[in-house]
Amino acid sequence: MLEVKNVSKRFGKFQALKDVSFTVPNNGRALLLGPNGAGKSTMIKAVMGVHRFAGEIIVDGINVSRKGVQARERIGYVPQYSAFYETLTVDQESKFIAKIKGASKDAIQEKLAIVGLTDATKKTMKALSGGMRQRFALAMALLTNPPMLIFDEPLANIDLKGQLDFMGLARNLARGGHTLLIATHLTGMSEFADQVIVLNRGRKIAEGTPDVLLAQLDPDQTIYLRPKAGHEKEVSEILARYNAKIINDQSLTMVVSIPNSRKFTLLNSLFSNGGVLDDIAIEPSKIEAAYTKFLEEKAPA
Amino acid sequence: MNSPRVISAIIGQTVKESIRAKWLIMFTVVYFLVTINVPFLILIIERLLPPSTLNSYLVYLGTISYPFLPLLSLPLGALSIVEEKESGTLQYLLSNPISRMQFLAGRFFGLMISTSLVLLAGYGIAAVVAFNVRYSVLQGLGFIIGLSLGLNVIMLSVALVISTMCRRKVTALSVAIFMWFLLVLVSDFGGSFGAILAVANGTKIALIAALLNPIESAGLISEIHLNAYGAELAMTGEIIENSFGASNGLWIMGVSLFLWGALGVGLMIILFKYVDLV
Repeated sequence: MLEVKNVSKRFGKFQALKDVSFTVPNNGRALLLGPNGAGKSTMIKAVMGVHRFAGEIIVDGINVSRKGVQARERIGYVPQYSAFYETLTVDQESKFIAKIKGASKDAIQEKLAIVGLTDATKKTMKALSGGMRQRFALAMALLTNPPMLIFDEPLANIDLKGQLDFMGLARNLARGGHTLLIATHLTGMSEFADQVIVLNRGRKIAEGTPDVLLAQLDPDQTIYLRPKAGHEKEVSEILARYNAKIINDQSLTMVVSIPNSRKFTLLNSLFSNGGVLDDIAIEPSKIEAAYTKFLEEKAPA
Repeated sequence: MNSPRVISAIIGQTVKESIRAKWLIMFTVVYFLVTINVPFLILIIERLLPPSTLNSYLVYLGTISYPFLPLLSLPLGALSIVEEKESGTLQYLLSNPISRMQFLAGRFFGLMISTSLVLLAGYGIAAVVAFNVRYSVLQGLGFIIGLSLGLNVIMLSVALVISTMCRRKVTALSVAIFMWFLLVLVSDFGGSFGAILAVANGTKIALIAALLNPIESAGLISEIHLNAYGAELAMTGEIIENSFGASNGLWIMGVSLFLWGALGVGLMIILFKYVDLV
């Protein structure tokens, strides 16, 4: 569905992207991960044909540089900052975008209903909250039922409720057979991804499924332990033996962090010592939990 | 083909936005007031001026309105794209199935329609209200309006070049105002030609400066076409008539305006197509 081949982009002396290549298959759900300034937004703008770039980007078999309009017909885009004409009402703005996209009035109603904005059509764009604007942007992205959806930091500028609402909608879309590309930094969106591309300083530094990347990264895992009364010292000694990092031991429950590869030996030791624990909980590894460490280790100099 | 649909959507949005922003009405009033020229009108009504004075007035109207016309189109055009860059709407629009050229065409024609409406309404209402529109006046006024529309296109293309190149509204507006100041200063209207004529080869320099200035060219065309004479024919007008004759002078100034238009529109298209806009 999306092929990015050796894409480079320079702004004056600043190299924003350097030889980035990746592929997102049909119905794939890719997460473009990286810290601020990694080149994610530049990459998305290149895919959308907004930036000129060196290299090649193909969307559904169509070269973005040569046939940008046809390529964009196959993409629904939700930007980081949803910029609309502020004095227009939701109704006027949606009709304007629908006219550009060649969508019908019925499609507008249908998509506004999906994102729950049917009652807001008389409001001006500037009267919408951050979350409502993102939902509106999503409705507009869906107007012509494009096979691919691209999100650029979709949760960056909205409050928690807006984030939860938006995540719910995105979850439904992920099930709906769209190809998804989501550019984000630490926002907890990895649940959508079956593919992760990590960018840093304009370069691709890793790519793979979340599981494979996690295995490569050996990320620290967070473990919550509640020692039995009188066994606190014993537990602390075991943790020290395995170089587990104690994050918090001020309450009944200790919070410790240990690389995934040493987790089982630590647990084995804790359980083989005659039951020094009352309770234990392990937080599942997420790609975001590890990628900061990954950036430090693998970033080009 | 989705081009006409997309371009008409952008044109419609641009025209509606200009009406919403109220500047269209404001400038129409300004042009109406420039055209009716109240003191002159009172003198005509009181029959203190001969009927032939009307032609002199039309010459005056061209001379006075052309230097002010860029004050309408230069700032508006200069802000139109850079404003969308700053707000992010340009990036959002260009992320839709729309080409840069479609957007530019829509914006250019939208601004052209809006500003042309200002000129037509301003001059037109004044013609009906003040001069009771006789055919002879209509012809003269029509020529002035036509020339205004041409000058407007040139100024809009220059303004869109400025808007494409600037990243901030304040910069674009400053450049546009400076451009206006420069064009008006280097003209008979700004009084520079008097000084130029005092230096060696001053006549040639004044002629070249007039050819390089679309406002001056438009004013000269209108003066020569309306058979201005004596003091009505400003300094450069006299130089042109004496050097080339009236008919050739019209052609030369016409070609100058056409080249300005071609250069402005060409540059606007090339820059908008190849420059990184966001």
